[in-house]
This record gives sequence, structure tokens and C-alpha cells, in this order.
Amino acid sequence: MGEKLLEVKNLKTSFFTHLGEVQAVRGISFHIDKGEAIGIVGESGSGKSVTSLSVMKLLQYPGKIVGGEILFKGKDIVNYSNNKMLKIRGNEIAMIFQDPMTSLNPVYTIGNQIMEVIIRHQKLNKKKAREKAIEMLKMVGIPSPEKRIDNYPHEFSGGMRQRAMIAIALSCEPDLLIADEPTTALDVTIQDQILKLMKELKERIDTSIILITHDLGVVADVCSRIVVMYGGLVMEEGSSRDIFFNPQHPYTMGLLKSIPRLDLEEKKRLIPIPGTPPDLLKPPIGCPFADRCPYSMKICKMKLPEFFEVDMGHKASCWLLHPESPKMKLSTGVRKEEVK
Amino acid sequence: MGKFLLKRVIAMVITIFLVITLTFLLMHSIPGGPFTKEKKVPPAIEEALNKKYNLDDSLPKQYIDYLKRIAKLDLGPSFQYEGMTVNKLIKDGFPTSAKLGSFTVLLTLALGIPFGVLSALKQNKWPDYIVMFLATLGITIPAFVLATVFIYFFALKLGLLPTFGLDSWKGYILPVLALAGYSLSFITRLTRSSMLEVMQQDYIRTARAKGLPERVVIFKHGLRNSILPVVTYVGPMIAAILTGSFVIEKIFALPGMGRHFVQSITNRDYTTIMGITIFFATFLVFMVLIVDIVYLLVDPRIKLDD
Repeated sequence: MGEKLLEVKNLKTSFFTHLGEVQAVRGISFHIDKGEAIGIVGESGSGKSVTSLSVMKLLQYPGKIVGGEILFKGKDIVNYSNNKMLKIRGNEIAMIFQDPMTSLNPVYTIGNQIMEVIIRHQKLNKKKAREKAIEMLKMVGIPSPEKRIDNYPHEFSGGMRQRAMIAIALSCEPDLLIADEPTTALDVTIQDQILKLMKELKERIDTSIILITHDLGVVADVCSRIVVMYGGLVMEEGSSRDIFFNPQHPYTMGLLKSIPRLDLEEKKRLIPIPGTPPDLLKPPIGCPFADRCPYSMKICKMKLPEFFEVDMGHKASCWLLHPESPKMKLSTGVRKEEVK
Repeated sequence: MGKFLLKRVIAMVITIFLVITLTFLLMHSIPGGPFTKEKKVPPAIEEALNKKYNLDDSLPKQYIDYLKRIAKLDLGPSFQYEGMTVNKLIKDGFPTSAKLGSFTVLLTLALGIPFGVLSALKQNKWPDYIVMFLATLGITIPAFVLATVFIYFFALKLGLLPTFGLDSWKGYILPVLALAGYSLSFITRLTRSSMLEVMQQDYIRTARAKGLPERVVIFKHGLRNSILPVVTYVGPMIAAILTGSFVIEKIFALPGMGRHFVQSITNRDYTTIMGITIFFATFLVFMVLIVDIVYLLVDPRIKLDD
């Protein structure tokens, strides 16, 4: 294990709406090492985006971090002033977002938007910053960057805009890149290109990556470790191998089964998880997945399970792992032909 | 750009032509005429007057004659003010109205946009409540009430400012304030709602994620995007304010051209009605053109349709 770059400990984030406190993140812990790529996976409303915005401290009113620690390079940034965060954002921790169509400012050129962050953090002059911006565009695979730098976002395609977003994010060579659903809004072929690009650039400039997605298929290729989130909590955490081939939590299994498969007959290709995520205005006292879980037991609705260590670095929060729980044959969603 | 301008100028000429035609027809369709007075003019004199000003010609002939005259930029003699041409009437009144109007427009923009931004950034906090309270008052209270209240307090009670006239710079203060009330409030509200919407956009989040300080986020990334609706409103507003206000000029006894808009109609002063209307219409379509050009400068997505 390498040096810990970011460690989130028991993070709690809530939104104080007029209906009451929505507990979007209810005490999650995970870490990321230097140079590592991890995936945070979960469906909409599981708290993954709120987690990333908490780390950036970009929560919008009425969102607030209500507890826990965020240790970045060993320092707790939860109580950092905005001024201190300005030096971290875009410089040490950068972020790319889901929709490249709306994430770039339509009234400024791509070059302006890249140079802005370079000038801000690296104190280069305009000419040098422009050179650097061209270099970044070249690096993310924009053809004839010295011309395209003066284009406006609307003159770029969706895939190119996401490349430009990556160029902005990586231009200050951040220690950590948080990619919040970076491929969700893109065509499948473009998705693949963007993921490859991120993987390649990760090696090139030695950045750690947190990839946030609802699609397990996306993280498989890029991330070495996966954190599965649900209902504002971590359900399971482990290496990509653990998660794909030895899932322990029924929610993880459900996610695996909902990856479309072309090798099965039509009805079995994609098995959805029935039901909807819990209402975090009144979060359940037990396991948040209990209502949708096919193996739900009495205890599940009464008490939140602790983490059971399955293996080195592989743990899951599920009562099924308790030594006294009944042994059941589970439908895991693992593709047998691949477990070799 | 050249082609765009040419197209627009042609469209402008057509618009103004339609305005002329419609005004001409409407004007002649209302009963009475320039020489209809409370005290009846002897028929012989009225006939002679009509003949003098070619009002005895058929309507189509009068229309054609008027168009010919307009082509030479001659708006004709006023029927009401003896020895005055309409050109002179505008030349005398417009500078006063325009000067007053310019101050008003400057005040409107210089206060309206910052107030709107402030209000949006402090949404649902006390600065927002105060600004919105005042803006709502400004929109709902008519200018003549505002003007009367101002005169009562600042001129009569406190004796700080003159009640009428433009003899010193002090004379401008009350009319400008009364004139600005509505548009200032409107621009404040417009900027606020536009800014609120823009600050929710993804690119604002991106700007913050870059580590840009809040003032850059607001003024570089927010304001430029939220200014478009304001630009749309400001164009026609300038045309309306610079050509003067009947009410304000009447209350403060100012020699502007605003009064002609109303008086020429009650007097059936045909040439003045036409002249003033054409002047305003031309000004307005010109401002709309300016607005379109400003759009191009503010938002690169807007392209000239060549």
C-alpha cells in the first residue's frame, strides 16, 4: 500500500431543506493512495456526487458537512477557510463533471477557460499560459490545438468538450482528479475514448483518480479499487477483482446483474433491482437496502450492520456475513466463465 | 457584417414606412382636424386654412405628398405653433429630453445592474429583501406620484432642490429620479432573476472547481451570461427615455419634446403627430439594431444570419 493521499473518515453531509434535514451522506469512510484510481459506484441518490462535492467543499446552500474528517495529504480540510480551499481547488484537487455540454462557459473560448486556471495557480504570463494550454489540448487529443484553442465551446462536439474539461482539470497537474460521471452524457464509443484517455493521462502526470459512476462497467477498466455506495453509506469496498468476482453485498450483486449482457437470452440480459432508494429525509435505522434486498432478514431492518472483513481490503456491510446468519445460496451476478 | 447591416437597414426602412402609413391612416380616421376649435372658426377661414396646408386634397394625394416630403427629411410646418416647422420643434425639444434621458439611463444601468447582482447573491437575505421591496415600489408607483412626492419633500419641505426648471444641475435631480424609478426597478429585477438562473449553471460550478475567487466567478462567468436579457430591455428603454416623458416634463415644466407626443394628438396637429412618431420609430428601430450588435459582442453563439 502506498502513501495515503486522501482519507475520508466518517463523513456526514446533509441538506437543510424546509422539509427537514436530508442526510445525503451518513458517515462514510474511504481512502485513496497516491497514484491510485478508485471508483465510487452507486445509483442516483446514493450520495456519490455529494461526497465528491464535499471533498471539494463546493456544496451549495443548503448543503453542509455536519461531521467527520477529510484528510488531504494528512491535513483535515473540513474546516479550511474558503481562501485556503481556493489554492487547493483546480490546483491540487481538480474535478470534471457529468455534462460537458453545460460545464463550459458558452461565452468564453476554450483557450480562455484553460488559461484562466493556469494563470491562477501557476502564475504564468499570458503567452506562456497559452503555450501550456495548447500543449494540454494536444495531450487530450484535440486535433490542430493551436487553432482550436480559439474556438468557443459550441464549436466543439460533446466528446471534444469533455476532452477540453479534462485539459482544464489536468493543466495544473493536480494530485487528485475527481471525475463525477465523466462519460454518462456521452456516446458509448466516445465513453470508451474518454476512459482510455483518463487512464493514459493518469500514468503520464501521476494523478490519483476518483471515478464516480453508476455504471460498474465503466470502472472495471480504470480503477483498482471500488467503493459501492447506497443510501448515503458505503455498502462494500474492495479491489475491482473482489467486487466483480467475489461480491458479498446483495446490492453489489444487483449492480452486477444490471450490467447488460449480450451473451444471454433477452430476458436475462439485464436484471434490474426492483424498488427505489430510501428517503434520506427519514433514513431507515437498519440497512438502507433491506427493503429491496431479496435476502432481507428481521435484523436487517432493525440494526445497521457493521463492516465484515472478507479479505485483505475487502469488506462489506451486510448481516449475511455475520457468523450466525443462515448460509444461503446467493445469485451473485458473477460471470462464471470469467472466474478463472 | 456588411451584408447583415444592409439587410437590417432595408428592414428598418420598411418598418418605418409601415409606421408612417399606419399613423397617417389612424390620424385621419379620428374625428376633428387641426383647425377644429371650441370656438367655431368661420367656414370660409377654415376652408382657406385647409387650402393653405393642402388639407383639401384627397387623402391618397396628401399621403403621396407627405411621403415625398419625408424623403427630403422635411417634416413640414406645425399646424399648432405658428411659424414653427416640426423639424425645429424636435430640434428645440430633443436636446433637453435627451440630456435628461441620458442621465436617467446612466443612473438606471449604474444602479440597476449592481443592485440586481447584489440581490441575487444575497437571495432571501436582508439586502435582497430591501432591494426587492424598493424595486417593487418603483415598478408599481407611477412616475407622476413619485415626482409629486419628491417635489413635496425635497423641494417644498426641505427646500434642497428646485421645484421646476433646469437652471442649475440641481434641477436635473428630481426629474431624473422620477423618470428612472420604473426602469431602474425593472432592470434590477431583470438582472436579479437572470443572475439567479445563471449562478445555478454547471459552468459556474466548473469555475468554482477551478479555484477561482468568488468575484471572478460572479463578474467574469456569471454577469456576462446574465446580461443578455438586460441588453434586450435597455435598447427600447433608451429610445423611450431619451425622447422624453410627457408627465415628467409637464410636472417639472421642462422644455423637452415629451409633451408633443400627447399635445400634438389632442391638437390634431397632423404634421407634428407624424413627425414625432417617425422620429421615435426611427430611434427605436435603430436601438433594436444596436441591441442586436451588442448581442453579437456578448454571446459568441449568436451568429449573423448571412
